[in-house]
Amino acid sequence: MKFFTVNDLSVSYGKHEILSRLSFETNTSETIGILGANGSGKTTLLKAICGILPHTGTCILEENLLENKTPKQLAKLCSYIPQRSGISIDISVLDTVLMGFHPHLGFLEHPSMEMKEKAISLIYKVGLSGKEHTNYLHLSEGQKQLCILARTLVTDSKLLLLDEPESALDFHFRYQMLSLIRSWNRENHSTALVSLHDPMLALNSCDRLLLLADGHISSTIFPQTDTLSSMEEKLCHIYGNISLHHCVNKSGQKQIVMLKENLFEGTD
Amino acid sequence: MTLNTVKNKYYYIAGAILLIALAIVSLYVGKYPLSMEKLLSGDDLQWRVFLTLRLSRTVVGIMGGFALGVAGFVFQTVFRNALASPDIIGVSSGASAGAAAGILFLSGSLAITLSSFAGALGAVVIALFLSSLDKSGKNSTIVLAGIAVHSLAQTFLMCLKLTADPERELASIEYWIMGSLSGISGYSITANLILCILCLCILFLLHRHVIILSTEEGEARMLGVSVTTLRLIVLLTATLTVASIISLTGLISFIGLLAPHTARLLTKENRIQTMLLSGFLGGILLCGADILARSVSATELPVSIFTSLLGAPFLIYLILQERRSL
Amino acid sequence: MKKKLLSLLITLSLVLSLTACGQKNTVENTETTAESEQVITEENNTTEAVSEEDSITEESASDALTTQYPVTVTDQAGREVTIESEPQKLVSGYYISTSLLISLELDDKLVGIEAKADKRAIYKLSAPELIDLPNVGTAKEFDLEGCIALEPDLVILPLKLKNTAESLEKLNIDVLYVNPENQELLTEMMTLIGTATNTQEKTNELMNFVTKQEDALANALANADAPSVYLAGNSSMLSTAGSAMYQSNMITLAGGQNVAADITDTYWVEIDYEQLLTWNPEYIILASDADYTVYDVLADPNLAECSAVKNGNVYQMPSKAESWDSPVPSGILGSVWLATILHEDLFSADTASAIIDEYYETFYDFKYSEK
Repeated sequence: MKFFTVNDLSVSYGKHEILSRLSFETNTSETIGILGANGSGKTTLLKAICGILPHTGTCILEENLLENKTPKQLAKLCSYIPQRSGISIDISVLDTVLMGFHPHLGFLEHPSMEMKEKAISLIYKVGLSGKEHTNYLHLSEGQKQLCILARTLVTDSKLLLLDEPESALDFHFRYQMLSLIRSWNRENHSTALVSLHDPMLALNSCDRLLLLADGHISSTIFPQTDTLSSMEEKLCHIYGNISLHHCVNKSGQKQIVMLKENLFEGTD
Repeated sequence: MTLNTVKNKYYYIAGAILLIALAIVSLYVGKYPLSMEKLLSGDDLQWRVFLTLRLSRTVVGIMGGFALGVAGFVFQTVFRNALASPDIIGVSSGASAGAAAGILFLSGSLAITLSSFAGALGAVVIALFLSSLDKSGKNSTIVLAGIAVHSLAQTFLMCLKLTADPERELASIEYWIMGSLSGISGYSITANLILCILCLCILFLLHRHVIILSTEEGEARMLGVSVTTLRLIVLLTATLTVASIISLTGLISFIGLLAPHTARLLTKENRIQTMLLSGFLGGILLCGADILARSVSATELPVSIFTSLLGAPFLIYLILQERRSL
Repeated sequence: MKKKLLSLLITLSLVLSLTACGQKNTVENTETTAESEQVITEENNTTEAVSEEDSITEESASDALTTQYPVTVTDQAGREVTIESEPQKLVSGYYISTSLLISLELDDKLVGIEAKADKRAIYKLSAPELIDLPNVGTAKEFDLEGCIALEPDLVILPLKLKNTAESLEKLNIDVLYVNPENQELLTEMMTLIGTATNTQEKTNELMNFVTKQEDALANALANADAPSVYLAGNSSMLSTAGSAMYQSNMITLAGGQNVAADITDTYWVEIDYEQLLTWNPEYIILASDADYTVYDVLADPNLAECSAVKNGNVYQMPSKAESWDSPVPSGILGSVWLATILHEDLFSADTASAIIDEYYETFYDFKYSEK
């Protein structure tokens, strides 16, 4: 039994099928990137797994059938970070992070002191230390995403679903966030499904990449072990004519760089 | 910008003190000549006027304003809309139509209270039912359904007004819509106040949930909230709070809008204390407005005139202040 | 920020519109009073003019009080209207003028009246055929086309409809606007309609009856103490009429003292229980069309300590034929009835009953006490 299994997942909007009979499995402690062209169904896949969108097929996390769960049980098992949080009222960073404890609280219970301490330590961990009492609305977009990430991490859920967390972030925050998620997964034996816009970020910070096309997974990439040419071939279907190269940065770390071929001749 | 909790503490205390002070003033102001000596000497009539009229009116002023302020806070938060008010899901127009129907077809103030209460509740239940037909459970669906019910209730009200006798029934309907605390007496408020306090308790207990509802639907759901059910409970409770008050007093405008706005502008927070401050401000507004409504002229004036005359300039001042600080 | 600006704008506009509304009301009030004053003066002139004319007529034709057509009258909107010949088809869009037309024996000339005629008891009692006449709508919703279709010679409408009914004037249908808001304006309206319809003799008879009863009341109650009276309005027992209103005169004529005399508003006003307890009236009189009953007032625990309630002196103005507490031609009967309540010893119920019967027998052809 794998840690997390998706079986025959299909989602349709009316007659239009977005995802058709999609299946995959993941191990624990894995950070999995989802790549695909715009409209390929990345967000739909994440929303279907966490039950926001109606779907057929099953998602099983450690023998728990996610489809059967109440929102509260589900929230304990997996957590979802939208592209942008809908928070639009004045609220402190600490109170925002404390929202994450909701599934662990009784109906009329309020967050305890320990929960507050844990929240503050996570705020520290995501790099927002000293901003506990700052108004969430006054944060930069990147800081907001980090704050929401902290809210997600407090729940100790085993499955993290992140929808393009890097889209609002600048270069520095992108890598910081992904490495944070990756090390979190290793420490807590959790798995993260991250839909990503930036293929280079995906290649350099995920354990595995799922490529979405035409409603199912067209191919899978293991950036650490696959050969550059096989990865190039798979990525071509999404990004057109590209080439991959190994580069070494000044501190000696090896990275994969993606370059566009036929730069000024239109696509392909 | 750090949220200033210390400064905010002073706002809460100042709000509470001002509310108490106004309550005391309200006990002193009135048409009937009450005197402390006669009250202390146990004059039966004086006591009766004091308890059933003066005190009741003060209590309804404070509780009513408090309830409208808190409910307004809840509506604005749940709908993520600074302009949301109980009217957004048809509470006020439903209550008006109900009251008008009561004035036309029933008799007695109790019947009018009941029918306006039923009208408010009915409108909201219809609006929520209509919105539940759309399974996506979006806020905007509720707002749309609310607008539909609101205009339906308005049409119904217009029809009732058209058939009303202009000399008496129409005047009654107009007076009801303007709102007044003049008819309040200790004999008719108990049930409404109990319901109001009960609902207020529930709203305060659910504060944490109300805040989570202010995020987007999917987000709230992933925080472990059964959005549709919880929103239904919260909206119905807030509606009951409002209905229990306006069925006694008639429509009271602006408090549900002004009080929460002001509380938020002052504190820049949305904590449970902010909700309390919103209630305090509502109580201050209604009690203050009612003191003026019964004392500036020999006759009773509609209380809504004063709620907005007192509240609006203050709100404008706060907004200008806000602009300057940016 | 945008949101805040928007909310600022909205509050501002709300406040402005509110203050504007308030101002408008006061302006309107002053306007109407100014207007009515103007009308009074002008009307006095024309009555004089008319009576001069009359005296000439009298000399020439020796027939008392007939109108010589064409006649020019000034209506209560201050307009001069020339009526070419005696109108044969009348439309009355106001219950007060309709009631007057019945008493002037013009009901068979009516071809259209105001809506909701079936609610007016006096029509049923005196001129039941009116109920089936086509209606031209209410003061709120006037049926212009319906009115034109009736091809009337003369249309009598309340002043409120002045703007709505302008088209009638353009179609050369004579329109008279009336505004019987108080006793003076009512008298003026009676003279106006009497002149326009050539029924001055009957009009004078009617007015003389009123004067006679006023004198009778004044004589009978000359030395009586005036008990305090609270008039509870139609819409709620906590609404009442101040001294500037018709209803206050009615109380004074009946030998009572209006507790709300200090209030000078020209419309029904709202008060609270405390005010009513402070006034502590000896009598509470409910308006004819009150939505509530004498029993409701007696049973209201808030009023238990009020003299009128303690002594059971709570009465409702009768509404068997007409609402005497409104400025109708029969309004004097309200004072007559009230006098028997306030001063039973000086003004007996039998006397009142005889007066009321006389009025309706003379002008409406039915016996009130037998209906």
